[in-house]
Amino acid sequence: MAEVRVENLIKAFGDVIAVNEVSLTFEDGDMTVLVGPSGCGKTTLLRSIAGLEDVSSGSIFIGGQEVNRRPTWDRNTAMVFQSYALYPHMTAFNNVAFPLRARRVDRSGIRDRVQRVGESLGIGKLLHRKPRELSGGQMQRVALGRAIVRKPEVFLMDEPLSNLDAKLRVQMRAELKRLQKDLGITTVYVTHDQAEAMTMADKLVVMQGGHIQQVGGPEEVYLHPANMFVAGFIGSPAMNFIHCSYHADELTLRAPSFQCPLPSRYTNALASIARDQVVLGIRPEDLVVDLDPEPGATLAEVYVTEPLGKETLLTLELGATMVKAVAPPQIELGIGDKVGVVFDDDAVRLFDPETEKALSAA
Amino acid sequence: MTLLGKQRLKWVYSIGIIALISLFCLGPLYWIVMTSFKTPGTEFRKPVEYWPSSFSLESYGVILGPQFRIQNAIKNSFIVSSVVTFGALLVTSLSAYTIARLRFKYKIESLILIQLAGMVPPIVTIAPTFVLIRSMGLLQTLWGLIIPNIAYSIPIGTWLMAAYFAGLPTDLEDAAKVDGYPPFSTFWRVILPLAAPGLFSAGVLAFLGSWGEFMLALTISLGLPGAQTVPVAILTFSQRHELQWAWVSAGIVLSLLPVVVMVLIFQKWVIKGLTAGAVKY
Repeated sequence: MAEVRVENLIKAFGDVIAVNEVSLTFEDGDMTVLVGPSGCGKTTLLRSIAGLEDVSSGSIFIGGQEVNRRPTWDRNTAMVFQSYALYPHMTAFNNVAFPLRARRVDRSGIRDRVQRVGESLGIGKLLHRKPRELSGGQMQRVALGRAIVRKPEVFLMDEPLSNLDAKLRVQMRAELKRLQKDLGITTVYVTHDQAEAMTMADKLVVMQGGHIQQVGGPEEVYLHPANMFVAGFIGSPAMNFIHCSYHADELTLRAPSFQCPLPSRYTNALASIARDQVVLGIRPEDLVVDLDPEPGATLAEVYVTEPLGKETLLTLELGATMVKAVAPPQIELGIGDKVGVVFDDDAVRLFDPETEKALSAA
Repeated sequence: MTLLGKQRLKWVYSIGIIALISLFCLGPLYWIVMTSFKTPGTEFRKPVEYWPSSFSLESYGVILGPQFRIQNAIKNSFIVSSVVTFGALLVTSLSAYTIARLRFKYKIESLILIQLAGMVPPIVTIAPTFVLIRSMGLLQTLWGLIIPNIAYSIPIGTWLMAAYFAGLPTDLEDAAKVDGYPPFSTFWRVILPLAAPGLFSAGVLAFLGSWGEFMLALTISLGLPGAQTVPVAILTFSQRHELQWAWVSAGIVLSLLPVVVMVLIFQKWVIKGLTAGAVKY
């Protein structure tokens, strides 16, 4: 177990800078999740830690020691790949034993450890099979077994669940999280799935364009996104954004089809940026749908309803803006119906339309 | 015509074309096998005997007997081809892996250069090869045949193996590195076993190429029995004894037998190796 630290890391592929001056600490024993859209640099960062990519500049430390010059096979990391990367010509047993043989563990030791790991992952009876004879979930467990059998300092996981079907993914998410907690090994986990990131992470790192957008606990990132990208990426359905004008004399925010009072906690922030345009962000679950609106309430027209069983997702036309709202499952609404919309004041987030950064609430 | 009728006609056409091509390819082989079982002197009897009126093993007895001992030439061919195969696979697998996987300047140019070397007709290089082998003191030795034949195998072997290696997922090598294996160990334990079909194809090509190679064998052996391989042995004894076609045919059949057996055993791997992998460096 060890802390991993990267300092001012840059990785360029020709003119393309995949990782751009990233400095980050992955705490000992924690699961840190790198999340972001494709091409944001998360996998490149992971591979750089593993030594599979040579960094252009910057430093990588594992357990306090700089490892830039250390080759991959000397870094004592273990990796689970998106494709599992099981050796097709070896049985599951030999796949799991492979890293132990590199370390010249004796035969009986290999046998014991592989069997024990196999039993703990529920693949004890499948170790004689080759990868092509295993299901996706079983292959994934073999890949995990190969990673944990030698007790590395760091686990590196590159979207290990993305090749599984939805149901199995949810099941494996929980198992992986529990396994990591039981083993207590520092883990760097890469995913593009924000739901997976939220459920797995002790610490979340949101990346885009090679840069870190925000670092924090899942709840913090969800409730207090640092900018519009984080706000729109984390959470499903995504946060609604409404461009408004700010009227300082009336302390209101106005859009073409509605207005709402400015949350008082943003008064100072708006005064400091000296702008009269602002982006209002609100999550769908914080937009309350009123079937019997009072006179003067903000109205929206139902564009489409999507029943999801446990809730109904509504797309509403709020003037020229489309917004999403989450309603109870039993709600009966049709296309074209008019409903009232109430903004939960505490849940409103404001962003600077030019810098896209979140305004700080006093 | 009904659909079934059209399909039947298509089938007849296909079988007919295949039969024609087979006749063209296998006809001479059939003739040689049948001639080998004819009594010497009766090979060109009229009317032509497509099936010998009497089967005789006399020719086989003569060429295997004390007069010619073709088995020595077969033994030499076997040794040369086996060592060439091993050497060619060693060299081509390493060079192909380098080209397919490593990033270095002039990679494509290197591959082109290797292929260009293979396009030079052997007759152009036979004289300098002779001088080189003589300067190494390897004339009339099996090594004098082995070393140049390994070199002849490199262009096609490298091309074949590079295409095969390029088709293997890079994740496997990454996984092996993370598991604690340096590059050569990864190559030996992970890449080579997975490239077995490609290795078999390249190996069979190297074996067949060196087995049937005549010009270099004649030049290096100087026509003398010491380092003769089968093609040279067949030629020399046919000159000596005024073209006894039955004996020549028997010699050809004996020289083909090991090759046919090998291809039959490894045909699955050969086909797999020749048809696998996308060519993408």
